[in-house]
Amino acid sequence: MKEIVRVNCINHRYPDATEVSICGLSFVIHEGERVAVLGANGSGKTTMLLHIVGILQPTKGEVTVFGGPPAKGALHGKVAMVFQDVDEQIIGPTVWDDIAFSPLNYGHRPEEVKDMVDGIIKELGIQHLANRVPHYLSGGEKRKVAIAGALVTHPRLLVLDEAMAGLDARSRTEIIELLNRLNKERNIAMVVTTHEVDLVPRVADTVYVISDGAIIFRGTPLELFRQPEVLRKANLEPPPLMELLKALKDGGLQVEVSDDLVEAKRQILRICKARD
Amino acid sequence: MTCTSAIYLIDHYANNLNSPMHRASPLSKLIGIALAFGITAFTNSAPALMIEFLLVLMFMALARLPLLRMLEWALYPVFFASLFALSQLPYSFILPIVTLFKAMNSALIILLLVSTTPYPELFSIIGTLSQTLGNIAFLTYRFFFLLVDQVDKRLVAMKVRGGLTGGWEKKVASLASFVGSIFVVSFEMSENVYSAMKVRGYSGRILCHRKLRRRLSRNDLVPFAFASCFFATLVVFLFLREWGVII
Repeated sequence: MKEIVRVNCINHRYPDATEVSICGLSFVIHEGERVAVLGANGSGKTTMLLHIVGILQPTKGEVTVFGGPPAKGALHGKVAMVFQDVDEQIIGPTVWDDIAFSPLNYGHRPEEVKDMVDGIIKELGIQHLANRVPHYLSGGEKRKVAIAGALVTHPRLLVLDEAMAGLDARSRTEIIELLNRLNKERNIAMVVTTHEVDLVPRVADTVYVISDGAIIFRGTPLELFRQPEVLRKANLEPPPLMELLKALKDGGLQVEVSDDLVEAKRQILRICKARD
Repeated sequence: MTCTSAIYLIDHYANNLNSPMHRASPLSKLIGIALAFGITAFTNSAPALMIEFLLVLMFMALARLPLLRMLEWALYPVFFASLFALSQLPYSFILPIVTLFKAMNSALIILLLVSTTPYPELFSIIGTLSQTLGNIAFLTYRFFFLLVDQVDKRLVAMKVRGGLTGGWEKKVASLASFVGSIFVVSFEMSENVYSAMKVRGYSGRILCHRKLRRRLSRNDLVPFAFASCFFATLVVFLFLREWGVII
C-alpha cells in the first residue's frame, strides 16, 4: 500500500509558548488504512492532526502528506477533517449550504456543486436534513453533516478528531458503521484520535499510542491489548474484556486474549463446559 | 423575557412550525408584508386600523403562532409610540389611538414575517442584493446561537456557584468576570472556526450563500390574500369616509 502521510518527530510552539513534541516512532498512514491515535487528554493528538491538515506548521521535524508538506491550499480537498466540536465547523445557515461550502470555495461550478452536495446527502442518507438549520440538529445528526461536509470533495484521507465524543451509543454505532462503509466503498484512509480504548477495534486496523510526547506503540488493536502495560503507561485503561481474558490466562486457563466479544464468549463457554 | 430568548423563539417558530404561510416563498411573503406595511402607514382611520389589527391576529392564528406572546413582543414599539401619542392628546382623541394602532400593527406585521420565514430564507433576499452582506448575515445568524448557548451555560454555572448572590459590588465583580470569560470563549471559538474554514477551502473570500427561492406555489396566495384584505379594508373605509358614514 502506498504511503500517504508521514510524521517524523515534530515539535510545535504555540503563541502562548506552550511546546508540544511528538517524537518516538514515525507516524505513517497508507492508502485506505484505518488508523487510530490513542492518548490521554493533552497528549498532543489534536496537535499532530492539525499538522497533517496543514493548519499548524512544525517548529522542528517533518510532516509529509501526499508526498509534500501540507502547506496552505496545497492539499486542495485531498484531506478533509471533522473537528472535535462540530458546531465550530458547520458554517452554513442550512445543512445544504454548509455541505456546499468546500466545493464552492474550491471553485466548482454551481451545477457541479449541486450534484456533489445532493450526491453526498443521498449517500449518507441525510436527505431529510438538507433544509434544516444546524442548531436544531442532534449531536449525531450534526456529526453526520460535518462528515458530509468533509467528504463532499471526495478526499483520500479523512481526519477525525475525537469523532465519537459526547455521542450516545446508537449515534456512535451509526457513525462507526458509516465510516467503515465509506472506507470500504471509497478506499478512504481514515485517522481517528480518541482516548476511548473500547472504540479502537471498531474503527482501526492500525493503532498508535502517544504518551509523554512520544509515539510509544504501533500495531494492530489486538497486539496492543495483549500489552496492557503500554496503555497504562499512556494513562489509559485496557478494555475490561481484555483484562478478564488476560486474568484468566494468567490464572492458568487456556484462553487467548481477544478483542472480539463472540470469540471471548466461545472461549469462556468452552472452559465452563470442560469443567462440568 | 430576554432579547436573546425572544430571538430563539422567533427562530423556533419560523423553522419548526408548519402552515401555508410558513410554506409560502420568502419573496411573496416579503411583497405581501411590504404591501400590508405600506397600507398600514397610509391608513388614518382608527376603525380601519382596528380591523387591520384583527386581520393580522387572524393570519397569525392561521400560522399557528402564539397570539399572546406576539402581542407581548409588539408592545415594545407601542410603548415608545405611546410617548408620541401622549403629546397628541391635547389636540385630538382619535390621533393617539391611530398612532398606537399603527405601531402595534406594524410590529405585528413584521413579527408575522419573521416568525414564518426562517432567517436563511430572509437573508437570501439580502444575499441577492449583496453577497457580502448576505454572507455577513448568514455567519452572524449561525454563530449568534452558538454564542448564546455559551452565555446560557456560563450563566447557569455562575448562578449554581453562587455568583449572583451577595451585595451589588460582588454581583458587578461576578458579571465582569462573566463578560471576560465570554470574550475569551468567543475569541477561541472564532480561531477554531477560522481553522475549520481553512481546512474546508477558505481562501479569503467566503462562498456560502443561499439562492433566493423563486418558484411559486399555492401557498403563495396566502401572503397576497393578507395584503388584499388590508387593501380591501383601506378602500372600504376610504369610501365610507367619502360618503360621510364615518369621519
